[in-house]
Amino acid sequence: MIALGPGVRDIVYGEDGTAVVMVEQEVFAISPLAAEILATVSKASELDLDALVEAAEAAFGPPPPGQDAGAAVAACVDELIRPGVLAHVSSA
Amino acid sequence: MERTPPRLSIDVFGTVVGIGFEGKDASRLAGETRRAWSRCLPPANAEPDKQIDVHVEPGSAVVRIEEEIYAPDAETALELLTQSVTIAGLTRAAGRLLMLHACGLSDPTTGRTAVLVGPSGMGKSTACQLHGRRWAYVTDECVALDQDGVLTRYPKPLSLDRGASVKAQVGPDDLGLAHAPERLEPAAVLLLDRREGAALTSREVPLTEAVARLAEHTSYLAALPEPLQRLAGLVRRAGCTEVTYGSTQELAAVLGAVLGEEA
Repeated sequence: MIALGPGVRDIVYGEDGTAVVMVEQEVFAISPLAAEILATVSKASELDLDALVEAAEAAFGPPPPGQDAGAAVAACVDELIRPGVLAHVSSA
Repeated sequence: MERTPPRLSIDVFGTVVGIGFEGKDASRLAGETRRAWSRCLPPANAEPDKQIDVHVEPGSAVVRIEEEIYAPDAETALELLTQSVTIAGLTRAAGRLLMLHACGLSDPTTGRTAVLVGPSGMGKSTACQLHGRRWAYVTDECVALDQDGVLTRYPKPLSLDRGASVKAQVGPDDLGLAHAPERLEPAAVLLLDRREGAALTSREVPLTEAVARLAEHTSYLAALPEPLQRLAGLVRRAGCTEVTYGSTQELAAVLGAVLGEEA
């Protein structure tokens, strides 16, 4: 399961779909896909990858032929977990 | 009868820093400091929140620790004092004020202020020196805003590179800079990008990019509640424009445009 990182201090979303997030004392600018994932996770206490793929497809539509939405979302989630924006949590 | 060492107090963002002078030419140094910091003097009866003692002795090593400064000459002591006083003010304002590494120039009547953000060496003090007669001098170091977005003056001495080993600390009165009014509000945030030979261009910076880039030029940002929202509030209110330019003189046109000067 995936949740907001415990060190997330603040998030600002832009009208262009991007966002900026502060984790502990560091600030990261993130892409529209990452911002959508972050917004989805922020609304729930924790979510699994399938729910995030569903949210991404609802926001951006189905991926172009030959591309895998699940892989793109999984890669984005990994990139958000590295600096602590998101975190893996054990399911309660 | 023993003489009392000369003393002085300086107001930095509401923190009163008491300064004691000891050693060679202490009285002269106190006088020079008072002159350079003439726009940052608190009421005469204000009790210091913090004390810094300055010792000038020929041959002394250059030492700046939290509350003590040792220097071989007055020029070095004045530069170190500016750093210590600023740090004292910033430290005590942490968690209360949004503080940007920026200079500020305002309309002397309305208080509408251009916040010019950039790292050291980007020409903030030079911009104040050049444009601070037409537009009022707010600060050349740190623009601070409270949670309502109201800006606080910090009209410290300008730190000017005049080719010596230390930067000269020159008071705004000695440079003939205009006085900023009591009430100041941000009218524009300009991200400075000075490049030799570059033509003057400007670009509106989108909200999230502006917040991320401005965050790099803050002090104690993480000490604020909702730190990014504070930055976003400033950007929503005043906008954020990246200004690329080759010469600090060119900023005259930009300042005129954002502060509403009639052509």
